[in-house]
Amino acid sequence: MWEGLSSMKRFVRALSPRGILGAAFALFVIYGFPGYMSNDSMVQLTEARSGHFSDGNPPLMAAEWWLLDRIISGPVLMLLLQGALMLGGLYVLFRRLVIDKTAAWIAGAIFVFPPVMVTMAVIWKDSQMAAYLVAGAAALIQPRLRTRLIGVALLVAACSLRHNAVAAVAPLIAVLFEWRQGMRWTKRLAIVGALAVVVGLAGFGITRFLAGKHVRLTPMYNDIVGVIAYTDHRTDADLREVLRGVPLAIDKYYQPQAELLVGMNHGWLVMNGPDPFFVPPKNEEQWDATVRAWKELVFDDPHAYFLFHTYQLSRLLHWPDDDLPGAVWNLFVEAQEQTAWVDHTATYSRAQLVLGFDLFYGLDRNTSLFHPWIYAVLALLLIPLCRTGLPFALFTSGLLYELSFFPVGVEPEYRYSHWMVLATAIGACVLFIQRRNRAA
Amino acid sequence: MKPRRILLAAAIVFVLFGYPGFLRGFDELFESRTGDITDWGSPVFTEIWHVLDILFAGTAPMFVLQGGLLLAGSYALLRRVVPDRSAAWGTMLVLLAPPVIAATTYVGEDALLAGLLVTGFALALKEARWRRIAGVAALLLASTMREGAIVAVLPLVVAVPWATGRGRRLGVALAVWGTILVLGFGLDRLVVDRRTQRREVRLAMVDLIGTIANAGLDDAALAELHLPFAVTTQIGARAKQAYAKREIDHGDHRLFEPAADDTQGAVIAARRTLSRAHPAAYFSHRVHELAVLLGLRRDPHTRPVFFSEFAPSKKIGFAYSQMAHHSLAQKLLLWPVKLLSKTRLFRPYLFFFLAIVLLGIAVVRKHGLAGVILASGLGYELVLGITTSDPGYTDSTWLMVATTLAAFAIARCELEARNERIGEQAPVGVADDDRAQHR
Repeated sequence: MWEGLSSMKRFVRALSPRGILGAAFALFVIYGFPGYMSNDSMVQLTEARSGHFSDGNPPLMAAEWWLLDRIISGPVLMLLLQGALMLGGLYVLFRRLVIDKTAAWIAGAIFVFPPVMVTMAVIWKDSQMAAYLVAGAAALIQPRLRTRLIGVALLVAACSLRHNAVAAVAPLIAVLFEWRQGMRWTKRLAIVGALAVVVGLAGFGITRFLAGKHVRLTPMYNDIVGVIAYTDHRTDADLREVLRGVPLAIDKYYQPQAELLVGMNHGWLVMNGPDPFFVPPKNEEQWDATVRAWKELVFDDPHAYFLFHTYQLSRLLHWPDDDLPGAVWNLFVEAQEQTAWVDHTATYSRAQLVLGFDLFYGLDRNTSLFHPWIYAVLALLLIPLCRTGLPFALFTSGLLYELSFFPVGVEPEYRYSHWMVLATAIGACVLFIQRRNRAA
Repeated sequence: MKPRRILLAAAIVFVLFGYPGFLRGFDELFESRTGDITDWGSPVFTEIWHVLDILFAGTAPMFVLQGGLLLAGSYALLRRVVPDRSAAWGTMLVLLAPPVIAATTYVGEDALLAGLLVTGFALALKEARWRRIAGVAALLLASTMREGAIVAVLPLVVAVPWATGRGRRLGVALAVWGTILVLGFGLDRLVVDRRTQRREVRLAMVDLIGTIANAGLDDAALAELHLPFAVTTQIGARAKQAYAKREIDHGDHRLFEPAADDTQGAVIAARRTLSRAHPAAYFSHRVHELAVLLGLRRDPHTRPVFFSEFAPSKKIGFAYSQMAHHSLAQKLLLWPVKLLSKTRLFRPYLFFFLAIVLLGIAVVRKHGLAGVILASGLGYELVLGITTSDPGYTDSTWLMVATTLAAFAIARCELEARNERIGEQAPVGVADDDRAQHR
């Protein structure tokens, strides 16, 4: 038995970097093949097939899918693209710090780390954004300027995948990007500042350029309900006056209904549930009335706004132990009827059943591995230990990105915290390597 | 171009053409998922699929396995007779030739049989013992893919230099073949969870209809066979109708009621009795079946080449969670193949007669490897003429692969020999450089 173990050890030690990365990627593909999808992914695929992109979801991703779907239909090439980009990015990043083999081991380990891999196996803008951010960060720390500029382009792509990705990109560019070594700090600051603005604008520009249809998405309706729920007692007559012209689904009991909806912890129910607060706006007047009502409510009681959003952020961080949706998403299509829309479905292999339903669901239910607040605390604790720019940039990128959800107030899902989790994991490894190297 | 790049390009086009693999029936996919394996198809094939299902579900892993074996095996075999780069081009031809790719992108026993035969033969020809053992194992698996596949294995096993001395070598080869035969039979029995005899009954019914239709027997003689006929009078006339319309045990013109457990034995026994009693009628029926198999006869009920959207129908695809959509690249690649499928290029007889001609050339010009592969392909096709109950295009997959492989090997070797002859005949005083320039 010991001989068997030692021969296995020899085999593992003899693995080349390519072999290690190949094994990690194989595990990823075994878990995710041919790519998990949700309603968001399905909308993206439908847009990609039609060739008409909207800005409801990032049109860059739909454009990518448009191209890949024409080569091999379905989500498989998207899965391979985001996986390869992420693993390749991790490997290139760690190669700057350690020898190839160690870099491959660390990159592989982070890549298959369950809180990282479960989201990467789903065709989401969040997974793609994380992949582009890692690849971009890895390119930014390379010695050649051309590679660093490619890194900037990758970060532009990341910016166009989520509106708030700018928060993740800004620290990476500010700390890591160098036009030329030995520049005066004022000049460097000017370049970096300009570049950060250009990257953010370019990201929005791509979305504007590709999107043929504008979809109005706004957190205002949730904000209105949240502020009404958290504010001091207000009468129906008072709220009716504030909400005049707003497309309401109810005409009385505004505050109890708002408290009920916030208590139900599901943002969708504000407009789409069995007892919604609003109906979708039909004309510009209703939109204008909504903007006016939002301003009046928020500026009248900013404390309520702050409390509501703090609660939402704490839920995003999984701080309260309430009925948050699970972190693991492993459906091939979210609803059966979607199969017919896109002519795609798949079934689970036995490995997928064991990994997804037994292992990852078990980890999610029984451990705190998927609780983002742990990674936020870890990042905050490790920031003071940073002696170089790379780990600091990664920690702040993750934290700022997470904080950028504060004003947005999205319905909390684990995928929104994925970048913070990933950035903290990478940053912690980088920090450990750098301190170990220094000690040696 | 480097051989590796040529092979990679071939593999990419193959995947683009067929991913995740075309599927005609769902029995084996269903059984591979449940693990409850019957003898409807090849039990070993279903078991292999069941094992692949551990890591990847659906048709994609089997499609990759089939294509991978065909690519690796063809390249390894061709490398034995031609330079590496030519071998890579030859492999590309085998993998992407329209009549071949139309068959090998189907997920089924025929494509896996072809892949296992080329890979098994290539490994068995190696010097290293473990490779030879792996080769024999692959040939063993190949022998269980279809009835009669053991015939395809025979020439390949005989061609392997197991020992020195002709007699000893032949003896060892026959021993190996016998072992494969016995083990294959045992493996087949071992893997089956539920024995239904569906294939045997189907073959018996087809043979009975064919023999009755050709023999012109009267009702009294047929009644003695105690078969589950759908009619009681004018059975011979009904048999002719059912034979023409291929309505064996279903449809308005069927001759038989579907066989129940208690009538299966009678049907199988009657086939033996009738074929022995009327050998000419049986032979005539089998010749007809072989002609249909080779595409010499147009039978409206032959299973033709078809390219569905990966599943026989959307309803079935939905039920089995196995659906995919043709990409633009796939449509572009399928389009010329669909057009060509209506031409004679897609008739297996073309490969059959070409294989006969090439076999003659191989014997005369001593192309051993090509000759052996051709003998294997031809032998298997002839056996299929006896064992097939529903001839279809994909049945001839091994014949088409073998013929394409051998044709390339012979053509390339002949071309090289011709070039050498020209080189030798060049006038004295012409420098090598000049010759190269002249070429």
